Parts: sequence; C-alpha cells; structure tokens
Amino acid sequence: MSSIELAANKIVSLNPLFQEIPIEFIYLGLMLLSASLLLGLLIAPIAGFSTYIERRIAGRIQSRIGCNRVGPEGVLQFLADGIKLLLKEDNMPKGADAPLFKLAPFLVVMGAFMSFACVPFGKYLVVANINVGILYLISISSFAVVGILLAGWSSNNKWSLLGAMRSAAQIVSYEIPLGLALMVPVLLSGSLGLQDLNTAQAGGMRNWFIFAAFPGPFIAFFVYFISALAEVNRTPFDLPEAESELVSGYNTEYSGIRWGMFFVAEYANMFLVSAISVTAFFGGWQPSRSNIVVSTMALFFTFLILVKTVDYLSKVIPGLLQGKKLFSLLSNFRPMRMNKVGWIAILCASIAGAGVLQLFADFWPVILITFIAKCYFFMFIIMWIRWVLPRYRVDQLMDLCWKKLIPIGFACLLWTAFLSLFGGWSGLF
Amino acid sequence: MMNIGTAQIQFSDDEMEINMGPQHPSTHGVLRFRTFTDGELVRKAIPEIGYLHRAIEKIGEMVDYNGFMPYTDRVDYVAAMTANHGYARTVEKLLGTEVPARAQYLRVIADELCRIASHLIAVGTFPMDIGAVTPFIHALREREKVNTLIEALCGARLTYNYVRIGGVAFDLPAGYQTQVLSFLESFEKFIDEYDRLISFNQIFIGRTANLCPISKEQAIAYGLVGPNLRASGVNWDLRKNIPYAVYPELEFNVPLGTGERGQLGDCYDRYIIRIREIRESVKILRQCFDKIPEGPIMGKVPKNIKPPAGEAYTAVEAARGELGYFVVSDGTAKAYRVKIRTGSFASMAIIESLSNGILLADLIALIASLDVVAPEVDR
Repeated sequence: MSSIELAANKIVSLNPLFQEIPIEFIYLGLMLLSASLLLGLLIAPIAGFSTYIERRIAGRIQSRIGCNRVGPEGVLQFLADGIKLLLKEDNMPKGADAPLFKLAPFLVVMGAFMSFACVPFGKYLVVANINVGILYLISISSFAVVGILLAGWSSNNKWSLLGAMRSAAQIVSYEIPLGLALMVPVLLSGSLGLQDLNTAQAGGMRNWFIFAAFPGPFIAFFVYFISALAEVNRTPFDLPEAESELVSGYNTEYSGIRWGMFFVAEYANMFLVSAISVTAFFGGWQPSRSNIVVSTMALFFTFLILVKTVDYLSKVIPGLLQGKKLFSLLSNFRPMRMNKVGWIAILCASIAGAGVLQLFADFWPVILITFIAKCYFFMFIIMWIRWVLPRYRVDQLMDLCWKKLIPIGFACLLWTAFLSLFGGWSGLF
Repeated sequence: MMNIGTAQIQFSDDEMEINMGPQHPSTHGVLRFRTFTDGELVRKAIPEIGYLHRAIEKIGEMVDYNGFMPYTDRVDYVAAMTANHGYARTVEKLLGTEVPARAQYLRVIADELCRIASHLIAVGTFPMDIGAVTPFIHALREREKVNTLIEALCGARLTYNYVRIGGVAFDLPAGYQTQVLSFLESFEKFIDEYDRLISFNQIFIGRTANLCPISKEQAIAYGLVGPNLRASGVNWDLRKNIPYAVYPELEFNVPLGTGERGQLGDCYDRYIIRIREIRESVKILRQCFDKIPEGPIMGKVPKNIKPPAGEAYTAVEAARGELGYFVVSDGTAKAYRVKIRTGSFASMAIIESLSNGILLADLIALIASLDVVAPEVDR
C-alpha cells in the first residue's frame, strides 16, 4: 500500500462526509497536493539554490568572490534572479514557430520535474513508489530532448538548430551507457524500483552497491556519472549550449522566464542525476554512520549561513529603521570577516550537531537532510568539473560514448551478472 | 541560383550559410566569417574584415609625426607599446636620430611587458573558446598585474603610450625594479600552474593537437609572422634575425614548434609556443634590469619634426609578429604616406584555406589559435 493510499484512507476515516467522495478524487487531490508541495517546496528551491552554489564555486575557482550582496552571503541571489527574469520582456524572433517556441521550455521543465515523482527522499517521502522506477526515470528524462529539439527548431535560428541537433545526438547516444550502468545496481537489488534499491542497501556503508561485486558497480558508477554529465549538458559535454561555438545553442533566442526555465530544468536535472547516483550506488536515504560526514557538511553550511544572517540583519535592519534605502545599504554592505576561531567554532558545532543528528538517524527530517546533503556532494563535483575542463568536440564525444563507455558498461554488467550467478556477491568489506 | 533583389545568391542543396559574427562570443572583437557548412562540417569560412576600420593609416598622413604617436597604440590595443615602438623607430630612421641606451632598454622592458600581456590574452582566450572558462580568468588576473606595472610606467592601463620619437616619455618610477622582479617571481609560478591547469589537459590536447596544421611552405606563402610562423618550425624572429634596440645584448631562445603532441604547426603548437615565449620574456625582463645603464631617456629630436624627403621601413617583433611601419616623408611636418603591416592580417587570410573540412567547433579553435586581434586586422 503506497503512502498516498494510506493517507487517503486516513482522510476518509476522519469524517463520514468524505466517504461520499469517490476515493479516486481523493487520490488525485492528494497526488496534485504532494506533487506541488514537492515541486514548490523542494525542487524549485533546490534548483535555485544550486545556481547560487554554482556561482560561489565558480567564484572560488576563478579567484573572484561571486554573488554576496542579496541576502547573507548572497544566498537569496536566485530569488532576485528569478524576479528579474519574470519581469523581463518575453521576446520571440520574427519567423519563429510561435506555439512550439512557447511550448518548448515547458516540455524541458516537465521532463525534469516529472522525474522527481519517483525519487525517494525517505521511507515515505516519495510521491510515486512505482516498481519500475528506473525505467520511468530513463524514459521521462528523455522529455528534455523533445523540448530542446523543439526549442532549437522553432527559434528559426541556425545556431539554435545546430545546438538542438547536437543535443539530440548526444542525449540519445548517452542514454545507452547510462542505462547499462544503471542496470548494474538493478541486477544487484533484483528490482527496477528505486525504493527497492534503497532497501537492498540498508545497514550502512558496507552494503552500498558501489562496493558490491567489486569492481563492476564501482566502474559502472563512473560510467553512469560521465553519461549523466552528458545527459544534463554539462561541461565537458555542454556542446548543445556551447557558448563560444553556438552563441548559446538551443536557447539562443530565448529571453526572460522562458530562458530561465531551461536553466531551472538544467539544475533540477543535475540534482536528479546526483540523487540517482546516491540512490543507485551510495545507499540512498538509508541512514548509515557515514552520514555523519555529509551531515557535518550540511550543518557547517547551515551554521555559516545562520551566522551570516545574524550579521546581515544586524547591519541592514538598523539602517532600514533609520529610513535608508535598501539598495544603498546593500551596495555599501560589508560582510563580516570570519577569523580562524570562528571557523573552528562553526566546524566544532557542526561536528557536534552531526553527532546529535546521528542519534535521531531514523527521524524523517534527518533522513531528508542527509539525503539532500549527499546529493549536493555530487552536485559539487559536477560544478567543479564544469569550471575546470574544456569541452569535447562532437566526434570525440561520440567516440567516448560508443567506443569506450558502452563496452565498459557492458563489461561491468557482465561481470556483476557473472558474480551474482555463480559466486553470489559480497561487498568489498 | 536565386534572385533576391539585385543580388544573385547561389544555394547548394546540402549547404547552409551561417553568419558568424560580427557579434559572436568567440570572435575576439568584431570579426565576421561567412561560414558555409554541411551540418557541422565547414566547407568554407570566408573572413569579412573592416568592422573596426578606423583609417589609422590615413590619420597618420593628416597629423604631424608626434601627433600620430597616440594613434599607434590603437593599432593593436592588446600590446600597444610595440606598436608605438615600431613607429618611433621608423621616424627615427628617417630623421637619423640616435636613441640613448637607457631609452632602448626601457623600450625593451615595455615591449616585453606588453608581449606577456598580449600572450596572456592569447593563451587565455584559446581555452575559453574551447569551453574552459577558468584559465581565461586566471590569465586575466595576471594580466591585471602586468597592467599595474605598465600603469606605473606610463599612467594608463589600456591605451598606454610610452614610447616617443627619439626615446621614451618617462624614466622608471622609484622602486620599479623590485616591483617587476617580485611580479616575475610569482608569475613564473603562475605559468607552471597554468600548464597544469590547461596546457597539459588531455581534453585540451585532444581538441587542439593535429588540428589545422600549417606547413612551413604554407606559412611562408601566406606571409604568416611571429608565433604563428614559428609554430610551423620556421626560425624567424626579428629580435634575432634583424636585431634592433638592445636585443643583441640579451640572451634568449626563440621557441619553435615541434609538433610534440601532433603534427608540426597544429593548433597546439601555436598555443604552447606562446606559453614558451612568455617564459622567454620573463628571462629578457630580468636581464634588462641587470644591464640597464644610467643616462638620458631622450635623444636629440627637433621640436617640429620635419624629416628629409625619403622613405623608411622598419619592423619590430610584436606579440603577433612582425609589425612594420612604412613611412614616406615629403619633407613637410606631415607624413606623405603611412603604411602599417600587421601580423593578424596575414593570419586572417590563411583561415579560409584551412577551414575546408573541419568542424564548426574546430573553426573557433583555429581562429583562437592564430590569435587574431580585430583592430590589428583593420587598423
């Protein structure tokens, strides 16, 4: 019985009036509610927040500061960007295919957001616990290709068209190694359901699939991760939107919030592939002792932002009360400089906090936080790669996919299948 | 064949004409290429020049000799001092002026600082055109430091103008030597770091090695100069071959392309040779500060320059190769004719013949590897 059915039964038992309503309507209502809650409260902020993190990481890597004005340390920058994009003029080039041009960004966002329906954030924190989750994910995420192709075609721009063609070729090709790599954990858990992957990895790090049937899944993870980078059009596979080659690729002609949608989808997709990496290879939401590391990371960041928030408010609010303009306050804002003692204090507090969280490891908010923190670890790696590596060429991209990743993916699959069939499989430890 | 208005346009069934530039993220200023492609495969890329034409040569004929000096740094604003230097040398040759040794050293110091600044742009934008943004920003960070040094020398960060006919404008500011030497120390570490960051990156090498090799004969036939020529293995550096200023007294090597990661004269050769030239420039700067004599910084030049009728051509080894000035004087205060020969113009010309059969992404790498600077093409 799924969580939605449980909730529906509970609602029906609350009041006899509810029994008059057909149960399907209650299902539908609950699904819409949970989906909008998931999208509004979780995915959209995660996608927005990721853009902030990306900009700060890019700043660090490029020896500059990055955004630090809107909100404490600039964490609210994505809201400001979103408002800016909403207020911008929605331009459409002459000769564009209007209905398709307008539809394309929605398709891309839809593909990204629909995939989240089956991502388990916790034991009950999953919208649709379908038993063919991986199949669903792979098929739904292909929506993005349709959207990108439409965007490129309908823009009536040669650069956009080239970007769209690249994207189609790239995403369709890389789905094969991606699927092959994901078959390895499926083989190990014996089910296509994402929740079953989690269940099979319960009981701590030693049961993580990445260490199982060594080195099959270990290599498969890298195959998956590389293919996933290509799936979400990130460097070194950002050919569809290669700025220096195709101006901006398939989204050249887009502006305002339609342009923003492509980027929300990109960051949502990044989070999605990180979440699948975690679910398929790194124990998913299952509490384990290793979570102490990621929860320390998460808490460190949270405490840092808290300290900065206090600092920010203590500087901005008195100025506002004196009747100064917010803009001038922000442009003259001097963020607090943290000294060594401060860093160490925050680190100690977050380690202690992580220890405390470990005591409540089965409590669902803790599971949610650690899962998201784990995902952000992979997000960080994706961003890191983006700001360091150059881009592949089209032919090299295809070489890598067909001549390297697919054979390696097959080898991993066969190796894992072989071990499962004959020796049974045991972990690395 | 199809008629649109009066123009006849030839369409091929499987050919797409894409207009690259003048506004395009990787055309380094305002370059334009009419690109004929079959999908991603480039059939031909025809450079269209003239978007930055400012009639600098004509201005040279309309103002007096000293008045043209500030215009010369707009010939090549990425490495302006060498452009100053070239013009000053030509007029001095017309006048027969002797330039004092200290001024010669100061000119070389300015030239080499500019060469570093210019090559930093070249090796920075190349990876950026290939998709790596970070090396560009790191290179620009170092360029800012060079700009600070140049600012201390002449007071400007972009439109620097230091060389005068007969010498240089200012002597070294106080403490300049330590300032430069401490920069060079950190800068050499930066080049090593830069090599680790991008020069030896496997994707970068994969993208640039074996790409659009230019043979020795082809390079000479197209009149390539500077690093582009040397990348094809031709040992031709004006600082060695037709020595000027104080270069004969300085020890440095002329790096040549060897095709170490692919073919001779490929894009990687053109890239790595610039990194090596930066290292040589660092060497030259160190020697300059060791050897610089005391003395005047201006030779004897009349206030109103009226060279005797005649013509002169001299060239300096700028960051983009031979930068030559041909000046014809008719004995008046204004030049009769000023002609500037720049390296980027020749580099632009070779793109069309190299662009057949490469991919669109390669075309951008090719343009970046030739280090074409738009104002130098058009003047």
